[in-house]
Amino acid sequence: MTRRLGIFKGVLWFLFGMGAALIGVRLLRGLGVVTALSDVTPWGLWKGLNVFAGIAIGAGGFVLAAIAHVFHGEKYHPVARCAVLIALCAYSGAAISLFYEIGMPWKIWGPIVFWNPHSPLFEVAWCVMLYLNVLLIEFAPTVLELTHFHGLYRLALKLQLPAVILGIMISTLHQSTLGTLFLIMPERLNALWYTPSLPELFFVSAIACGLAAVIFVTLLVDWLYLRPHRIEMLAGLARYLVMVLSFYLIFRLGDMCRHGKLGLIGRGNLASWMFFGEILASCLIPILLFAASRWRRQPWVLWIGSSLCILGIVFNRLNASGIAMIWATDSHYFPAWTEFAVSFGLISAMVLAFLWMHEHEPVRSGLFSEVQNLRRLQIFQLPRPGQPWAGDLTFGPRRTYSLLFVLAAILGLALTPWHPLVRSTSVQRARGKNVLLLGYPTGTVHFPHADHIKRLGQKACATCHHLHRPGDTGTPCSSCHRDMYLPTKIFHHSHHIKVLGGNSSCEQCHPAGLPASARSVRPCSFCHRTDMMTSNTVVTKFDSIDAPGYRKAAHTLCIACHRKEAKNPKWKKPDLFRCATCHRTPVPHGIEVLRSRARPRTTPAPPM
Amino acid sequence: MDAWIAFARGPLLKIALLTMLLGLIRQGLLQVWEISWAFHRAGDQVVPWKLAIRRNLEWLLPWRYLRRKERITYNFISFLFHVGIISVPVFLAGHVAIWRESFGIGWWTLPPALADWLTVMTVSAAAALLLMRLGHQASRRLSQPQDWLLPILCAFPCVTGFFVAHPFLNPINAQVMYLFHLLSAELLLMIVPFSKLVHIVLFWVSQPSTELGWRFPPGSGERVRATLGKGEEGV
Repeated sequence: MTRRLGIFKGVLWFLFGMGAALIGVRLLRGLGVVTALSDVTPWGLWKGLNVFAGIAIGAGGFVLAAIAHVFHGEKYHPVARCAVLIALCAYSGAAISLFYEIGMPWKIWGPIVFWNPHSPLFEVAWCVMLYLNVLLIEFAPTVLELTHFHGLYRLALKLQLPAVILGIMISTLHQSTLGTLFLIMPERLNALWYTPSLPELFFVSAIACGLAAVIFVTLLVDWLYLRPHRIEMLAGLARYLVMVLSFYLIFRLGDMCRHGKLGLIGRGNLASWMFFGEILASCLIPILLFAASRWRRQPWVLWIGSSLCILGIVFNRLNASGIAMIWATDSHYFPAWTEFAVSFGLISAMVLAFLWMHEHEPVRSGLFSEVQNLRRLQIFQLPRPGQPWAGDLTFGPRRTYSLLFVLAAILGLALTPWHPLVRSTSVQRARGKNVLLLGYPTGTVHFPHADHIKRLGQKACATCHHLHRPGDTGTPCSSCHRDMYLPTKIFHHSHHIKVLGGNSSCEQCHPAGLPASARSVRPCSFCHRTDMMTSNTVVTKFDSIDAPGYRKAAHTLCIACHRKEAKNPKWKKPDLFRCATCHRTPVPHGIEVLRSRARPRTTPAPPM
Repeated sequence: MDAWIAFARGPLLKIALLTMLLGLIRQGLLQVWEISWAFHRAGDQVVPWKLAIRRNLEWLLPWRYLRRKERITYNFISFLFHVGIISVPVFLAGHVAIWRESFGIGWWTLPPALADWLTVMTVSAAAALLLMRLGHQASRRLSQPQDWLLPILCAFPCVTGFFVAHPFLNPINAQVMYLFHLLSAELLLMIVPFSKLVHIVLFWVSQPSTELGWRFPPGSGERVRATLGKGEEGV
């Protein structure tokens, strides 16, 4: 194992570990915990990067299969097998990604049984499913060669050529259908990306992206396994790439010209700059780099050109499937870090699967025979004989990778909020003379304080003010119920220790002989007899640690009383308990309202 | 201080438990994998399953251990240490109260006075084990750094826990001591999969592997090497 391969795989295992842990969290706790998606923006980074871009990258499989086996490009046989392997990994990644990113993963089998032939997604689902099977058939001899099933192996060899042809057909269908998807929502797409020719554009750009991906992966694999670069073959592919990209560029600009959208490029806004960057990276620079036959035989030119082309087309898919939509719908979406971690984790897993299959594939198998003779790597490394090995902590590659995986998984699980993000909304103190305004400007609550005093009598303060700070007689609700929706801590442990005299004071609250816990502790009223109003009839339950959220506290307090009083014939107000009695949006005349300076913050819910 | 304690009781505890759980799963899988591969490559592939399982169960109980002839005192003190270090954390009333409040499950608890004496016994047993390791030439030579460190790390939560339970005897601030108790216990949980402490869960893997290891014919590794013509390389 080379050093660079070890480091590369180590990084991949780390990313995979974090992604796997977060996918687990997503499956257990739902999309809301790990994504920033909403009903307005239901498609985010996962769809753009792992499905749309992943399938475009996997297009190399059918392109190279066509070049090598249909158009008899014999010298491309070695990369054709590599391309099928790339396609297999990319499509599997897209399928796995689809599984965890749809809202109800347990219904992913739906399109197989319930047919809706009018839906583009139906066609995509079926084509991707069929093509994945075709890829498996194309790749089956490679695996079956290792086994003892000789009959199956010969059958798979016979099926290989039909599978290649079927694969080209199905790929043509679904690569373009991914573009068709956006034709049904023109109002959601930015004008720079929307065109009736989207299916054709998607198909052509997928061919380019697939070719570039094959060049890039071949370079990467040769570099990782310390093999000489196969420049002649790659230069030939780069030549095809120039042709496809030129066609794509002319097609796209011509299409924009036809629809009179060329002027949009010069607008100078963010969209036009992104369009320009996309064209520059995906078409212009690779075309310029690969145009001269001497240039495209330089390894660094191949590296830069192919990676820029992939990035550009991936950017195109991201734009079309997400960023352009966000602008059109004017919603706010930026992927959460967990979304990035899951995306890169899945990509890492697929790259690892690719490398593993690359290391384990046999030398010859059917159509994809006479490939490079891979140096077999030593996979299972046992310690030297005589050395104790059970439970020892020597760091072989397997131990290192599994350690990195586990550490990343721990990090991912520890950093992910286990509960959906909750808005923490601090409570504003009630203001006004005889009408209290609460919660302005989201909605105002009318509370005629003076009127309540008049009706209930001066001695009835305790009906609402059930707990006071020492020395206080009318502590406002908001000093304990500090958050609108979340419970807030009201007990200050350190302060009590300090005031009561350090370590010797524990037994004043925690009875001796019992474990010191919140359940066994003496109630607050044990000491604060005078601060707690015992005559209160509404607040019967008192939790000495958490004060409930303001909304819950107020509703419990007010509605209970209003329900009772609504039945009282004395007031003749049967609707007293209805929402509109207190919740009135227009601010009454003559009442000064102070704007809240505190903005709603997004914080995770407090544990336990 | 309250914030530190909240951190140690919330996220840090989660990290510690996750580290222990996932680390142990990894370690267990690796060990099973390695056993199976060693077995796959061994010359004698007859595994005395019944004997291995019986030995495994026998070592779980202390009788076989205590019947040994050599270093009787050391074995006995080690036994006492294990009794204390297992029973006190599991059956302490305060710990069971936490289980009850968090998950609604609980079990029989030790009387507080007995728990105190068991804690004192555990800490003194740890100190005695260290001293006896220091005094015995052979075991001093065999010792790795973790052999010196682990008894201290195991005793630390016991000492801090004792002071948390008895604030009158506590020389420093009660909350600081509580924080130390939490942190030291979490450190112990975290190093379980990466040290010899792994035996608290994975004894059922390491014990059979030892049993199997006895069965492999001596020098089989050299013979495999010679057959493959690998010379000094690893097999």
